[in-house]
Amino acid sequence: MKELREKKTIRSLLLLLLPVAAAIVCMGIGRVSIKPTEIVRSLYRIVVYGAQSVDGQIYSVLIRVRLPRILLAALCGAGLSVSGNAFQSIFSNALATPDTLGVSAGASFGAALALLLGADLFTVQMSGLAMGFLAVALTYFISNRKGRLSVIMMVLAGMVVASLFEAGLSVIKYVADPDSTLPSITFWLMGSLANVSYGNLAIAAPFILGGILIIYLMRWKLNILSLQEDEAKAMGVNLYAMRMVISLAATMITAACVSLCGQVGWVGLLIPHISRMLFGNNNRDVVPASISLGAVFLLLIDTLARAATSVELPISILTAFIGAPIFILLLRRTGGIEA
Amino acid sequence: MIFAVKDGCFGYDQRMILNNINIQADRGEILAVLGPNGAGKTTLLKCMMGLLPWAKGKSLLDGTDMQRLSRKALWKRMAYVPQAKGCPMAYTAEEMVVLGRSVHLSVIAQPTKADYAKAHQAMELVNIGHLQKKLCSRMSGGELQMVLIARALAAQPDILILDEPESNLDFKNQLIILETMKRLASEEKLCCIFNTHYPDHALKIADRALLLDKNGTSIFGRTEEIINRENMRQAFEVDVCISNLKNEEGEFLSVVPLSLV
Repeated sequence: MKELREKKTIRSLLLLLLPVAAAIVCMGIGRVSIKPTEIVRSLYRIVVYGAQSVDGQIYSVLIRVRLPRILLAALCGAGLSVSGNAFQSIFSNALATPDTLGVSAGASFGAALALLLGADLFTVQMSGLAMGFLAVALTYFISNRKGRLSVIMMVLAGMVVASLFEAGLSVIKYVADPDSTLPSITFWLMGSLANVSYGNLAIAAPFILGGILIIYLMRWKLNILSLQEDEAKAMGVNLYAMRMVISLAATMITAACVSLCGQVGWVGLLIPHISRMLFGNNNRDVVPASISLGAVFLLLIDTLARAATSVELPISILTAFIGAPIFILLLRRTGGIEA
Repeated sequence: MIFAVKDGCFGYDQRMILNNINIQADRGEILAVLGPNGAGKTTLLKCMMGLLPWAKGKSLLDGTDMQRLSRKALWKRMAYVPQAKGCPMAYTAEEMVVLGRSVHLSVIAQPTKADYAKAHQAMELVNIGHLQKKLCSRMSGGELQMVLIARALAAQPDILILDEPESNLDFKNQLIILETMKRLASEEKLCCIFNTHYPDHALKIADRALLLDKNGTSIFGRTEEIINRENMRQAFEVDVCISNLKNEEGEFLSVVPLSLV
C-alpha cells in the first residue's frame, strides 16, 4: 500500500512536470532556435528583473510570438482531451468524442455563423457553445433507447448530426464573401493556432479552464455515469443534473477551442485512450492524465505544424494522420459490444 | 416494519401490470418475489425503489412515504444490486465496490481511506477480498454478482434489493449467493428483497414471498403457505409436485414442474 502511494506521488509529479518541460522545449524550436537552458534563464530574468533585462529580440520571440501560442496549444490540448474523456463517461463508450458526437461540427457551425455575421470573439464562442450543446443533445436523444446506449446507434447518430451541421457550414461558406470572409472561415476551420493573441486567449481561456476544473473536480463521480441508468441512480446521485453539468462543461471547452483554433480533431479520442492504457479505467486517475498528456500532445503537434516546413501546416491534418488509424483499431476492437 | 408497499399499482398506457401490491418486510427478513416471465418482477422492484413511479399507492420506509425522502436519505438506507451483465468500463473490483460509497460523498469529493476501508470490509463480508485488483470485465458471472453485492453493502444500507441475483449462475454460485443473503439477514440484520425464477430458492431462504401472475394479481404471505400446488398452477400455468426430500442433514421442500396446464 505504501509503495503504491509513493508511486502515485511520482506519477502526479511527472504529469505536472511533463507539460512544463514540453512547453520549454517547444518554445525554443522555430526559425530562431533557443536552447532550453537559455529559455529558462531568460524567463527567470523577465519575471524577476523585468522585460529590459534580456535581449530585445529574445524577448520578442519568446513572449510576443511563441508564448501565447504555447499557452493556446497546452490549453486546447488539455481541454479537448478532457472533454473527450467526459463524453466517453457519459456515453460509457470509448469512441465518444467531441468529433464523433457532432459537438465539434455543431460548435463550428455556431462559430462560423457568428463570424459570418461579423460578431466579436465572445459572441462567436457563445454561438459555438449553443450549437455544440444542441448537437450533443441531439446525438444523445437519438442514440438513447430506454436508458441504454448502443455503440452503433451512437456512432451513427453522431455521424448524422455532424453531417447536418456540416451541411449548415457549407451553406455559410456558400453565402460568405469569397474575397474576405470565405478564406478566413475555411482556413480557421482546418485548424490553426497561428492567429492567436493574448486578447483572444484572455476571452477563451476562462471557458476552457472552467470546463477543465469542473470535470476535474467531479472526476470520481464520473465513474458512476458509465454505469447503467438505474444502477447509477441507485448510487444516490442526481443523474440528470450530473450529465447536464458534465456535458455542458465538455461542450463549453470544445466550443471555446473551436472558436479559437478551428476543428482540431482526434485529440479527445487519442489521449484519453492512451491514458486509460497507462493508468486503468478509474477516472480519478484518467482525468488528470488526460489533462497533462493532452497538453503535451498538442504542444508537440503544433510545434511540428509551425516548424516542420517553411509553411504552416493545418494542425487537423497532422492529428488525423495519427488519430484515424487508432480510431479504426478501437472500432474493430469494441464494435460489437453493447455498452 | 422497516419496508412496506401499500396498494402499489403500475401500468403502461391503460393496461395495469401490477395491481394492489401489498408487502411488508422487517429487519433480518428475506422476501422473495416470484412470478412468470413478463409478470413484472423487475418492474415491481423498480417501483419499490422509486426508480419507476407508482401509478397508485406508495412505498414506505419506516412508515414514511418514500417520495418524501431526499435522494440521499433514501439511498443511504436502501441499496440496489442489479443483475450482473458485464460492465462497459473495466474497473477493478475495488474501484467498483468503492463506488458504493458514493451516496455518502459530495459530488466533488474523492473517496478517502475510510471509504476504501469500508469497501474492503464489504468485500470481506461476502468473501471476495482476494478479487480486489481483478478487472470486472475479466470476472465470471458469479464473481461479478458478488462484487455488485459488495458494492451495495459498501453504502451500509438497511435494505438490499436484488434483481435475480442467482439466475445465470451454476449450482455452486447459486448456493454462495443464497447463503450470503441468508447470512446478511441473520447476522447483519439486513432486510433482503430478491426476484427469482426458482421457487426452491424462495423456500430455502425466504421468510415471506410475493407471487405475481400475469393478470396483475398477487398474493403475499409466508413462503411455505404461498408456494403450494394450487397457487403455482394459477401463476405459472404448470402442474407442480411439491415434495419433501430427506437426507441425513434434514428435510427440504422442493418444487418440481410436471406438465403444462
